[in-house]
Amino acid sequence: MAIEPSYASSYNRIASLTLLTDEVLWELTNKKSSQKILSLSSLVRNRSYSCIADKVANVKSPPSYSVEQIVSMKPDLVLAANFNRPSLLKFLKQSSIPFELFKSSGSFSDLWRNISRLGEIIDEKKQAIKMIAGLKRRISVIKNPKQPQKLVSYSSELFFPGKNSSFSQIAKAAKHRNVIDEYSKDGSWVRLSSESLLTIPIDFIVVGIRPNATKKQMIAEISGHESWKNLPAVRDKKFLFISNAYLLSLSHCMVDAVELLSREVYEQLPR
Amino acid sequence: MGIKIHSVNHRLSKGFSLTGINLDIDDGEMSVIVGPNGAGKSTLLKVAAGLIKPDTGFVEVSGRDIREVSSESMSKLISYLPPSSSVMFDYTCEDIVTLGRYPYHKGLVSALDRKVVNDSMETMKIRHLAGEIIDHVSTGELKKVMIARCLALQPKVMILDEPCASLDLSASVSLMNLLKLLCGNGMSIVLSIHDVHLASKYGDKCFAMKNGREYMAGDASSVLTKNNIASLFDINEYELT
Amino acid sequence: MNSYLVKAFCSVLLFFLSFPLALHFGSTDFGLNDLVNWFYSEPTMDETVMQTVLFNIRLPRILVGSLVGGSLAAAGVLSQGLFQNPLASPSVIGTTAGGSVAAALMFFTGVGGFHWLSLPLAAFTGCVVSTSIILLLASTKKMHSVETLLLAGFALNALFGAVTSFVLTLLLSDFQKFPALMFWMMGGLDAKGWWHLNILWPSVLLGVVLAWRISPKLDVLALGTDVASTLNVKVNSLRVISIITIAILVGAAVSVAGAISFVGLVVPHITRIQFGPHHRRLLFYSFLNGSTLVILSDVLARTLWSPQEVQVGILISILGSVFFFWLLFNRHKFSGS
Repeated sequence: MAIEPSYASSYNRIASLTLLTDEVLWELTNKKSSQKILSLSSLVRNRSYSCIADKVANVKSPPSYSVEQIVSMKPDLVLAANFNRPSLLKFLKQSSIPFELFKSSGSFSDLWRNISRLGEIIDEKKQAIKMIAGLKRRISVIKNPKQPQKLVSYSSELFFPGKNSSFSQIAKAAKHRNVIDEYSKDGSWVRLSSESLLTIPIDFIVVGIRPNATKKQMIAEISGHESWKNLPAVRDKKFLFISNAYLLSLSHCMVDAVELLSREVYEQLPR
Repeated sequence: MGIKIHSVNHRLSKGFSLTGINLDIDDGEMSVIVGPNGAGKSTLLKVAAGLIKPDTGFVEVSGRDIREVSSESMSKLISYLPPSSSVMFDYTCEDIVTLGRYPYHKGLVSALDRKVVNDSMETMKIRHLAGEIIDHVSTGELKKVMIARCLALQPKVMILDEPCASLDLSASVSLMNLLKLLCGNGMSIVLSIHDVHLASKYGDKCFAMKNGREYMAGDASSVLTKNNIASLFDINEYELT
Repeated sequence: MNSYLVKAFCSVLLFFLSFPLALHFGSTDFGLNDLVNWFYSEPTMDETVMQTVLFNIRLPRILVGSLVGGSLAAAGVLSQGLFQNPLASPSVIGTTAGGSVAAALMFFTGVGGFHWLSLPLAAFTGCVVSTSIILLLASTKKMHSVETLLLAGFALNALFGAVTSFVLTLLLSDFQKFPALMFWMMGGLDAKGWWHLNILWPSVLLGVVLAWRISPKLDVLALGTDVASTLNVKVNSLRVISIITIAILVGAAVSVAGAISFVGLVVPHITRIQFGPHHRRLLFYSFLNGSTLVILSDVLARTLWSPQEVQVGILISILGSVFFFWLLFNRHKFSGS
C-alpha cells in the first residue's frame, strides 16, 4: 500500500529501487544515517548510468535485483518511482509492503521536491535543505554565454529527448537550449528522420560518453554514421562530451551535468 | 521391348516387402495389375517407373537397364500417373498437359510442344477445357487432363496407378477404350485396377498380386477366372455372380 | 483488350513511378522541383542541403528499399513454390528469425559498434546459419514429405524467437541498445546509404539469377514430387537450391533493413492472383511489386508523422494486410491469367 507523506517518519530499513533515490540518499546520509539504507537499486554499480558507481563499490548495502530479494530483506519502506517497471509497481501496490512513489519528469522543481521528501524520510531534513540551497546556488552562478547555443543529444537511432525532458532542463539551466524542443509536441521522446535532422540548425552535439568508450571512438562512430555524417556540426567536430551518467541522471547529478555543459561550451567557443 | 521387371525384391519400411517379382510387358500390350489392398501394386508400379530403386533385381525399359540409362532419357520413355493428384495453384488444364512435356521443353515451350499438347488434349477429348483452371473441372475431367499430360510426353511406356479410381462406369469404360487404342499404336501400358471385370475385358496380360508376391500371371482371360478372383481376394465364390 | 498486358503495364508503370515519387516526398520540403531548378542553374539557398537530402539520403534509401522489397518478394515466390503452398513465406523456414537472433546478440555484446559492417554481416550469417540447420535436418532423414521441413522451421522459429526475446529482456535497462534493437526488429530503411546499397546488390543479383533458373522446375512440382521425379526434376536438389537461394535473398535484405516481414507472404500471393502461377512470370512481377510496395510504404513512413519517422516494417504489415483483405473479398474480379 502506498503511504501518505507524514512528518514524523522513522524508517530504519529502507530499500531504494531507483538511481534517483539511490544517489540522493547517498548524498544526504552520513555514517549513522546510512545504516538505515537496506539496499540500493540494481543499476547503482553500473558505471554507464550511476554517478555514484565508484563510491558504492565497497558498500555493504547490496543492490537488489528481484522482488523476492527485496521482500526477503523485510524493508519498512520501499522507494520506487513512476518509471519503475509497471509489474513491479503493481506488485508493490498489492502487497502489504509500505512504499513511496517518487515522480520525476526531469524538471528541477521535481528534484527539489524529491530531495526534500527523501530528507524527511531519513530524518535528515536540515541536510536536505542545505543540499537544495547549495544546488540552487550552483545553478544561479552559471555564466550567461554571449549566445545561447542550440544543442542536440546524440542518438544513433535518432531517438531524441524532447520538450521538458531532463536533457532540455539541463540545457536550459546551462543557459542554452535543446533544439529538439520545437519538434516534440507532447514532451516525450521523438524519432526524427535523417532528412529532418539535416535541416535543423545545430551548434553542438552533446554526446553522453560511457566509461568504456573513448572520445576518439565516439567521434569515429558519429562521423561514419549515415544519418549524422552530413551534418555541418559533425564536419566541424562540434562535440561536447559529458559523462553518460550525469547526462541521463534525474538526481542532483543533473546539476553536475549543467556545470559540465556550461563549461564545455565556454571552452569551445571563441572568446 | 516394352518393360521388363527382373527378380525384384524390395523391402519397405513398414515390414512389407515385394518378393521375387518378374514381369514382362511387350510393346502394344496392356498389362493389368490386380490384387487386394496392400498387395504391393503401387510399390510395384513405382519400381517400374524408376521411382523406387529395388534392393535386388532390376528394371529394363525398351531393352535397356534403367540403372544405366540417364535420368533424362528415362524421363522421355516413361509416363507415370499417381493414384491421386491435387494441384495447389491455378494452372489451366493446358498448362498441366504442357508440363507433361517438360523433359523436352524445360520451360521454353516450342510450337512443336504446343502441337503435341493439342493433339493429346484432342485424343482425350478435353480440348474445350484448355483454358479452364484445373481446380474447377470435375474429377473425371481432371483424370482425363492427367492422362493427356502423360500422353503429351509421347512415351514408350505408360504406368498408371488406379486410373479408374473415382471415375464412374461410363467414364472408366471410355478411358479403358482409349487406352486400348493407344496400345494399338504400339504403346506399352501397365495399370493397376480394382474392377476385375474391366481388367479381364481390356487387359492383354494380367499380373495378380498378393502380399507382395506374384499370385498368378499370364493372359488376362485365363488369370481372371471366378475361382482365381475369389481366392485372390479371399472371398466366397458364391458371392460372385 | 488483353488483360495480361493491362496488368503488366500497370505493374511496370507503378514500379517506375515509385522512384521519382519517393525522391520527391520526404520529411523535409525538398522535392523534384528543386532538382529541376538546380539543373537549370537557379541556385537556391539550401543547395548543399538539398543535394545531400536528395542524393545522399533519399536516393540510396529508395534504391535499397527497392532491392529489399524485390528480394523479399522473390524469396516469397520460392518459398511458396518450394512448399507448394500459397501461404508459405521465408519466415516459415526460420530464416528471418536467424537474422534477428544474430542481430540481437550483436547488440547485446556490443560487438556491433566496432564497425558499421559487423551488424549486416551478423544478420546475414544468422540467416544463412539457420537455413543451413534446416538443410541439415532435411538431409539426415529421407525427405518423404515437406512436413519435416515445416516442422523444423517452426522449431527454429520458436528457439530463435525465444533467444531474441531473452536478449531483449537483458537489454531492458540499456536506454540506448534496447530501442536500437527494437527498431531493428521492426525493420526500417532509416540511415541507409550508398554503402548499404553496395553490399546489397551483389547478393540480390545472385539470388535473383538462381531463382530465375529454378523457377520452371517449381512449376513441375505442382504435379507432385513423384511425377516431377519421373519428369527428370531432381526434387531433393531443387529443394536444397531453393532453400539456399531463399537464404541469400532474405539474408541480404535482413542484413541491411532489419526484420521486415510480410512482403514475402503478401506480394507473391497478390501477384499470383493477378498474373497466374507460372513461376518465371510470377518471380518477375513479384520483384517489381515488392519493390513498389516497400518504396511507397517508405514514403508514407517518412511523411505521415513528419518530422518523425516510423519504421517501414510496421507500415508494410498494416498496409499489406489491409490490401490483402480487400483483394480476398474482390478475388473474383481478378482471376488468374
